[in-house]
Amino acid sequence: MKIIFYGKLAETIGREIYFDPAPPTTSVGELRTALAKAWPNCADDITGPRVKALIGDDFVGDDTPLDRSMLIEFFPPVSGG
Amino acid sequence: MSGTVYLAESPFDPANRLREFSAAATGCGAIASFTGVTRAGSKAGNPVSDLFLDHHPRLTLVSMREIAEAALLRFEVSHSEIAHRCGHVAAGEPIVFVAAASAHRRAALEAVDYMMDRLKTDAMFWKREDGAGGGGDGGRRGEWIEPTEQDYRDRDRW
Repeated sequence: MKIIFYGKLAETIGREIYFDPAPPTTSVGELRTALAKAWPNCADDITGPRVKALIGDDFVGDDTPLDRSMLIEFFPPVSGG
Repeated sequence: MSGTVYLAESPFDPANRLREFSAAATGCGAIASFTGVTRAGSKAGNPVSDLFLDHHPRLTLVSMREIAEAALLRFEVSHSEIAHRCGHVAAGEPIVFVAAASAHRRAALEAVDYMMDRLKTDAMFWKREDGAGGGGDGGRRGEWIEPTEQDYRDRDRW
């Protein structure tokens, strides 16, 4: 599935990846775990509550079912101004 | 009421922005503005050559628009504006320009203060301070900046 990262996650993992987690990865939370295993140096960030997951225009929780045909984006804490 | 936002990929002139904003805010007795500029040093004392501002292709503008419109609703201002850079911003260049116009000064001043506090914690940007040589071309890539506890306290006072 296609995943887009921003901020420091994009710097560590890449802006856009195609990632096919091993089954059974059926939820957003399980996807975070799979990503943390693949990129252990940002495991704490990717599985932590401060990084938000976005599908479409909505932030989603860890129990959201995963649809591998959809794009998912991960946002570290924002900072503007 | 009018809330305007600009996401600028290249340097903008805050004086020009203020001039245009003031021209649009006809009849207002008070116009307040703030410009944030990239500092040449980080809080830790490291030299900063530029700031890199990552953004989302859709939601960054949405977040800016929400803040500008919230200022219109919350304060008695008739016009609000946010102009914000993205990409690489050199030390000394403006990062953000915020303005508000109202009949009397208190509303305009508070609206500007409010928009800046909201931008610090809620605007969809990710900020990195880079050292000499710039982060994009092999120079020292610095730290990603997150809002401080003070930034969250400032936002929470509204």
